Amino acid sequence: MSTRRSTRVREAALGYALILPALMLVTVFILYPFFRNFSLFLYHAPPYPGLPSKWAGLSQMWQTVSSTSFLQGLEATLIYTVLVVPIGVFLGLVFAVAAHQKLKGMAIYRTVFATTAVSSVAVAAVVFGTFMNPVFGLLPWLGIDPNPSVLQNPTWAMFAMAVIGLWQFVGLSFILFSAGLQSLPEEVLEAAKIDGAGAVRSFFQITVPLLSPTIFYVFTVGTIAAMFTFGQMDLLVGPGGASFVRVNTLAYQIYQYAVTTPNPGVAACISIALFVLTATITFLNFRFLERRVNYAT
Amino acid sequence: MSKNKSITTFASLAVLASSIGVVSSVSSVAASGATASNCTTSALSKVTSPVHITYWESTAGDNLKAMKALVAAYNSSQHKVVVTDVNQTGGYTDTWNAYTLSGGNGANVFMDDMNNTQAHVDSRLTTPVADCVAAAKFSTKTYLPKTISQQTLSGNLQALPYSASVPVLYYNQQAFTAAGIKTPPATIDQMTADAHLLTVAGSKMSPVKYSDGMSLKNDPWWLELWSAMGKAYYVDHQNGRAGRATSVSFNNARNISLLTKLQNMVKSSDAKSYSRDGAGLAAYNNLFAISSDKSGMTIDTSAAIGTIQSYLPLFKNVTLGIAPLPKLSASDNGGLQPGGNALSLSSKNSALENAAAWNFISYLESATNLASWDASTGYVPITTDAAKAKVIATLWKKKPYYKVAYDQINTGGASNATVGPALGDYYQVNTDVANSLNSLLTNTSVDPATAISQAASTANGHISSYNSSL
Repeated sequence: MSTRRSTRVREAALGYALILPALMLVTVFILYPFFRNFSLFLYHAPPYPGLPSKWAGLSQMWQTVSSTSFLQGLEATLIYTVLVVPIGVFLGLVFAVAAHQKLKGMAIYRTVFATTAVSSVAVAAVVFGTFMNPVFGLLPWLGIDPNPSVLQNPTWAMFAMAVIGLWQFVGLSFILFSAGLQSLPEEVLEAAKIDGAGAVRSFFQITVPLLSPTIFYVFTVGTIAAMFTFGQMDLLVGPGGASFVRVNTLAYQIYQYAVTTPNPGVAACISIALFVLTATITFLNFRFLERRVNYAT
Repeated sequence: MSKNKSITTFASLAVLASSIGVVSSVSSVAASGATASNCTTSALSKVTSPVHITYWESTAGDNLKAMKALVAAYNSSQHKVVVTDVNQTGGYTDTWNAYTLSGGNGANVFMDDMNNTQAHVDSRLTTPVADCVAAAKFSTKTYLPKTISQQTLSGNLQALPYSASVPVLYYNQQAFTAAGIKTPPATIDQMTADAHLLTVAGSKMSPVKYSDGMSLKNDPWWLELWSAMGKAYYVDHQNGRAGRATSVSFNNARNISLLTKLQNMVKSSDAKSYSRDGAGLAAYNNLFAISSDKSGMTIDTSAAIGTIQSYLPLFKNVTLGIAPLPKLSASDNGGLQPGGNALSLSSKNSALENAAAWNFISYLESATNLASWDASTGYVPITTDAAKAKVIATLWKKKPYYKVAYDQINTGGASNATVGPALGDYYQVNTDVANSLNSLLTNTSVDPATAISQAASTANGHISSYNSSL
C-alpha cells in the first residue's frame, strides 16, 4: 500500500517537475500580465517610469472605448478579420483538396503551400511591400500606379494588409485541412464514387461534412489570430503613414500605447476590450457554428 | 467523436489564451525612480582600470559606418574609458522609448532627436549636460546660437547638440534643364510652377518622364519649419519656452494657405504624395522617384546628402542639385530651426560614469571629429570651429550644395519662434499632424482648414492628457 502511494507521489512529483518550466513561462508572460491589466486600467499611468499614477476608476475605460480612435480601430479589426478568415478557410480547403491527389510531384506542391505558414510577418511584409512599392515595385512595372499608392491609399491599404494576412493564413489552413483529409475514411469516398457521386457532389456532401470539425477549428483559430494582427500594419504603414487611421487595428493600438507612446492605462483598457470582444466572438462561434459540426468520424 | 470535439475546444481556448500575450505587453512598462547625479569630470583622472559605458545611437547607412569608426577611434585613442556602441535600428522614437522603458538604465549616453528635449526634462531620466559643461569649463561659444537656444530648457543646457540638419530641396539638374527651369524655386509658388513645367516637359518625352512632377514627402516637421521661417509659433507660451506648452498654435491662416498650395499641387497632378513612414527603403520613395525619372524634385533632410552621394554614381540620369527650402512668402526671414540630434546623459549615471560619458562626448564634439562626421554624413557643422576645418572648407568649395543647410540654420537669429517647439509629447503631436497632412494630400477633397483644425484638436487633447499625467 505504502509502496503504491510512494510511487504515485513520485510520479506526481515528476509530472509537476516536467510542467514547471512551461507553467513558469505561462505565469510570468501570460497570467501575471493578464491579471495586472485589471489594476492598470483603473489608473492614468505616467508617461515615464518613476512618476506617480493617478486614480481614474472606470472613467478611463469609458473614455477609451468611446473614443474615435478606438471605434476606428474596432472597425479596422473587424474588416481585416472578415476579409482574411472566410477566404483563407475556403482557399486552404480548396488547395488541400487539390493537393490530396496521388500525382507525381505533389509533395513539392504541398511544401510550397505550407511554407507561407512558417514565414514570419516581417518576411511577408518585406516581400509584399516590395511588390507594392510605388516606385520600384511590381505594380508600377505592370502599369498599376495609383496616386496615392496602394499602401498609402486609405481605400486600398486594408485590402493590401488582408492580402498579406491571407497569404500567411492560407498556408496554415492548407496544412490543417491536408491533415484532416488524410484521416477521412477512404471507404466512404470510394462508396460514394461507386454509387455515382461526381467530384463536386462528393466534395460538398461527403468531404465537407466529414471535415467540419477541422473547418470549425480553422475558422475559430483564424478568427482569434486575425483579431490580434498588427505586424504588417506596423512594418508597411506605421503611425506616420497616409493610410494609418484605416489600418490601425486594436492590437496595433495596444502596441503603440504600451511601447511607442507609453500610456499603460489606455493600453490596458484596449487590451481588456479586445479580450472581451474576442472571447465573445469565440463563444458565439461555439454557440452557433458548432451546431453544424459533424463529429461522426 | 467527443474526443475530437474536446480537442477542438481545448485548442481554441489555448490559442485564445496565448493571444492574451498581446495583453501582456502592457505590463512591461516597469516603474523605477529617477535620481539626480553630479558631473565630476575630474573623477576620471584617478581611475586605474577602464570605465565601461554604453552609448545608444540611431544612425543608419553610411552615417552608421562613420559613427562606428568614430567610436572605434575613441576607444583606441585612450585607455580610461571603453564605449560599447549600440545601434538602435528603430530611429529616435524607438531609442527614446527603449531608454524610458529601461528606466534610464539602458545607456549612459544616448543620441536623441533635438526636438525631444522637453521630454527628457519631464522624464527626470537625464542629467543636464550643463553640469558637465561647467565642471569641464567647456566652451559652447562656438556652437551655432540656434542649436544652444533650442537645447536650453528650464534654464539649463539639457543636451549637447551634435548633428544638425534641415530640409532642403533636392532636384535633378538634368530634369530642370529639360523643362527649361534655370534656377531652383525660392518660393512655394515658384515650386508649384516648376513642378508643372516638369510634368509638361516630361509628357513630351519618350518614354514619358517626370510624371509626378514633384515627389512630395508628407513630413509634419516641414510644418514646424515653415512656421519658424515666418517667425510664427508652433505651440503656445512662445513655443513652450516661456512656460509649458498647453495647446498648439499652428491652426492659423498662414498654414491653411501653405497646405492649400501643397494640396493644389497634388490636385493638379503636378506632385505625388509619399508618406514619411514605411518599411526600409520605402521611406526613401520620394528620393527614388527622382532616380527613376518619375519626379524632378523633392524636399528631404540635408542629413541624407552623404547617403545620396554614395548612390549617385549608379544613376547617370541624375545630376544632383540642392537648394534652400522654398519659402511660403518671399519676405519670410526666420531661417530654419535645426533638426538632427543631440547627446544626453543618463540621470542614473554614477559620478564616474558621467565623467567617462562626458569624456566621450567631448571627443565626438572636438572640432576635428565634428568636421570629419559632418563631411561623411552631410550634417551641418554645429560649431564655427568645425565649419572652419580644412575638410569642411574643401568640401564646401568642391560641392557648394553642402553649405546650403548651414546657411539656412544661420539665417534669422535665435529666438523662441525660430528654434522650434519645446513639447513633452512631441512625437504624438507629430503623428497627429502627419495624419492630417496625409489626409489632405491623399484625398484632395479634404478641406485644408478642416484638416488642420482636426490636427489641432487631436494634438490639444494629447497635450492636455500628457500635461495632466505628469
